[in-house]
Amino acid sequence: MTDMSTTTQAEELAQEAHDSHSADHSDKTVLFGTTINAPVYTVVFGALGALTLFELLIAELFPRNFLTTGLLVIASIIKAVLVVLFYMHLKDDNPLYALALVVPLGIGLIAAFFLLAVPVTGY
Amino acid sequence: MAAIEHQVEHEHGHASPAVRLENLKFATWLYLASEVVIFTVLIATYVVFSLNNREVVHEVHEKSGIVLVALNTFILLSSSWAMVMGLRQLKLGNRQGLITWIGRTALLGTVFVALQYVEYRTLSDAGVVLFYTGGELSEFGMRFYAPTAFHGAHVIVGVLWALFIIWNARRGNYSAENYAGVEVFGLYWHFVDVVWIFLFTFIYLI
Repeated sequence: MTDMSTTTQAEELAQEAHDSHSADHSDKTVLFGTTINAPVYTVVFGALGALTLFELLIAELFPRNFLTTGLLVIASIIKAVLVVLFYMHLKDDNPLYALALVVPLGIGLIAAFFLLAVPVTGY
Repeated sequence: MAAIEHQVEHEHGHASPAVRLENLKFATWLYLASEVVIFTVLIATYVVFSLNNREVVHEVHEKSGIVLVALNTFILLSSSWAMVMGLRQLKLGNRQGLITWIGRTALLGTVFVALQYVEYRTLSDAGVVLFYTGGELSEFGMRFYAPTAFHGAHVIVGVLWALFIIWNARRGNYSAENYAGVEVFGLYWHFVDVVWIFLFTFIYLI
């Protein structure tokens, strides 16, 4: 009985993995209704490069202020999300894995805000 | 008791590649959670210093320049792309394709570390040193070198891991059905890439 359930679970996992990754194996990517003759990983790489160029232009051409800083942070978050979803396959994997990134990040940010609240006293 | 042990051993001995992959991925994500804590603290420490010392950060940015770091960013993004293309080739049944792409990943990772060394030499000559020597730039040094060098150490480990993957692939240890080792290495390498995405923005651009 145990052997059978283990085997069934393994088959389900294998089937899920096959189904979820089949789109990643295609040589074509459909983006906003347009078919691109490149695997999805290459399209994501193009997006990462474009976003990095965007960041460089913002950083080099405009002075630092609330708006430009916000744009830079948003661009970096989009890049990170693209890598996590497509390259680390989180879009197909168990969503609980996302907690491994979100929970420690949340704790770290709370710590950072706490540090910001502490006045600088020197060393 | 003996029957239970035998059953567990029996189940473990026959764990399918799919179950093994899920277990390995779960363990790797837990490991990455610990890495997130470390890097978040290192980056947050830098950000707090940066907000309180804008002039120092501006001075270092002028001395270091952005071209080399931007090039390094593109190199690391390319290495991540090469990594995932290698895994794709393996899943398509092309083991030689895996070796070629992971070889590119290792090469790009090595170039990244070499360029980071060049950057460190430039900054060191400009007075940005690791230990406190009395100047304002030396206060910046520890906050800068700690996260970037810790990340660089991860890249070095990743390059060695990539070479191990290539060695294993040459021995025929991976296939379209058995790719857990490559996938887990991919999770690590892409995580290192994600960390650099934030380091690049928070340390070099803002």
